[in-house]
Amino acid sequence: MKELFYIPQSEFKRLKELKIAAETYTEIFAFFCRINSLYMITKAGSGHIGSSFSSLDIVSWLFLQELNLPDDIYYSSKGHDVPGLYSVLIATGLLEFELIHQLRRLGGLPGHPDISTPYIVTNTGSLGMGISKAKGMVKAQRLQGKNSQIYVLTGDGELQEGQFWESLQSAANQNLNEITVIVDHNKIQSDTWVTKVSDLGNLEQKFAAFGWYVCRCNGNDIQAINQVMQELKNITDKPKIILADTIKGKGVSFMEKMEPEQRLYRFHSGAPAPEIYSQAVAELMDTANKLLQQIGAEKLTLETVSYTLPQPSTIAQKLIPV
Amino acid sequence: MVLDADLALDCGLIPFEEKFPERFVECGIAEQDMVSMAGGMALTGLLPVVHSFACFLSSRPNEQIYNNATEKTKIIYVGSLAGLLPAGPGHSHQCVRDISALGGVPGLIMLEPSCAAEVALALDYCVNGTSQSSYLRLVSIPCQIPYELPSEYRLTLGQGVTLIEGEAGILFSYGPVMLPQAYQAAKILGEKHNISLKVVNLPWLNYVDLNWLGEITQGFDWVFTLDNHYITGGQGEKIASGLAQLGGKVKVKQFGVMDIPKCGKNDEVLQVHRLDAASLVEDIAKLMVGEVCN
Repeated sequence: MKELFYIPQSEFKRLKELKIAAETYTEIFAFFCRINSLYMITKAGSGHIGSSFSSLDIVSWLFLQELNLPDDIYYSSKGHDVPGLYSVLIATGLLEFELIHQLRRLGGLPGHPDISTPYIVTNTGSLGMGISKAKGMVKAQRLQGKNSQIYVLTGDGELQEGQFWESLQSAANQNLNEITVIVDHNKIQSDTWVTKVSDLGNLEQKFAAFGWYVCRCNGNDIQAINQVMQELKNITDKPKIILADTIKGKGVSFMEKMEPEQRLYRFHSGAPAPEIYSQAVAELMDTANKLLQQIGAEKLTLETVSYTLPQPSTIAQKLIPV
Repeated sequence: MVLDADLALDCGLIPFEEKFPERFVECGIAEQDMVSMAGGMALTGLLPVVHSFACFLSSRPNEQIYNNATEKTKIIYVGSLAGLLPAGPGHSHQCVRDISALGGVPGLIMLEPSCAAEVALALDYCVNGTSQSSYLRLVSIPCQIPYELPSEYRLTLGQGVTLIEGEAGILFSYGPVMLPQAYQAAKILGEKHNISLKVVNLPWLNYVDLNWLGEITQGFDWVFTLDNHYITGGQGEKIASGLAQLGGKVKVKQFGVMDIPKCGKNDEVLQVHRLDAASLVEDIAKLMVGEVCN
């Protein structure tokens, strides 16, 4: 038996009612969402921590400050960062709060995005399809006389997929400026560093060569994200792509690191072991409380859930040695 | 909305493009991109009709088609240049594995019309007759069609239509390449070998209505199927599986492509794969009466 922690709706409400600056609010909000993402993944027994954490500052900014819902569209092309997105949708009230306990459960929140969930606009998870789909949406919107903004998050390992590169050229040829792509450039793919698996080369030059408007920012710095989003509002003659430098596992010191001799990144997918969970949640709570303290707010009050770690069967056979 | 991957001429899309330029999207030679774009359009309320050669459309964007299917939107895929013929381009273009490649996609209805009149019926079915996605499989070469569909014929999912009546055996096929072979074979078997073969046009490629199948095969000892496709994963397997589920004692022989398609002249290639009328006559007669035809 152990304990898991999540931040209840009342704490998100308290944070919102503090009426602090948008950047500070979003930064703290994103840390709250990391705690809840970690809760969901640990309770589910599996899920993708690393890219949920790397993308949460971007996703939080979009939903709190940028998107004009329900017209504007956001989705993640890589899809496996969806626990992070769910935590944002739950915190903002766009999804029922009780779904926080239902990740990867029947009738709950699927392990990868599915349009049966409110505010999930397309099914993703199989990599490389995101921009193609956005182009189809823009074509349809234009015929229907609409010009909603479409934000597509991609991974960086995802850019090894051929379809990603197929999708770039015609978006520029046809000036599909409604599309903003954000690359969650956390530098680590499923197994290890992107540079070790198959280096992507100079992405800024490549995107520019395809005719896209390219900009780059620290994707874990809310002010930088805000700045680049403001810059892009003036660009109406090209599709836009943000190379957002992020850190995989952002927010938990040992999830942000990979030692030189380490063959594999440990927090791409799967649930953390109990002691790892405890260390991680303690770090996240500490950061969140420090941020609250800086603005003179009360410390966090968390909900506690008792949790029994499922024990694998002693007679189960492994056909793959993982 | 019509999408094309640089085959507007070969897929017969030029008249549409000229009449409805705002509803024609040239996607270039990028089938995966095209199919996912269609997915985005369908999610936004359009009905995309996605074109390419069957060999490319069924295979390269196979996962994208499946992804679209999981969103339960409606999309029409049109695969041209389907089947063994024309045999000149060679096996990169001879599409004889699209039914097996796409037959298991949930909610995807696959059908192949057998003549020009049935193309109109099939397209109308795909657009107006179903809320599901569909794959319209089209032969691109001109074909001599020795039969006419009954004037009252309408498409009913999983059911076919009899072209020639017969009592001794029943042969199912589809499309304008194989059905004429089946039709001619039945004529020859009747005239020269006194074998009365019923020929049925079954345009549905990945689904057969078992009630209908049970009724139409009732009383027959022999069931033959003829695929313009590899036997593995083709329509014949659906029929054989259906007959097994019905629990009958009927004997089944499947004809279709068994090896990598040969390149050559159409009639020669049909013959070398033993799918021309004369080969079918010989093989069916041998099976039914042990007779070797000359």
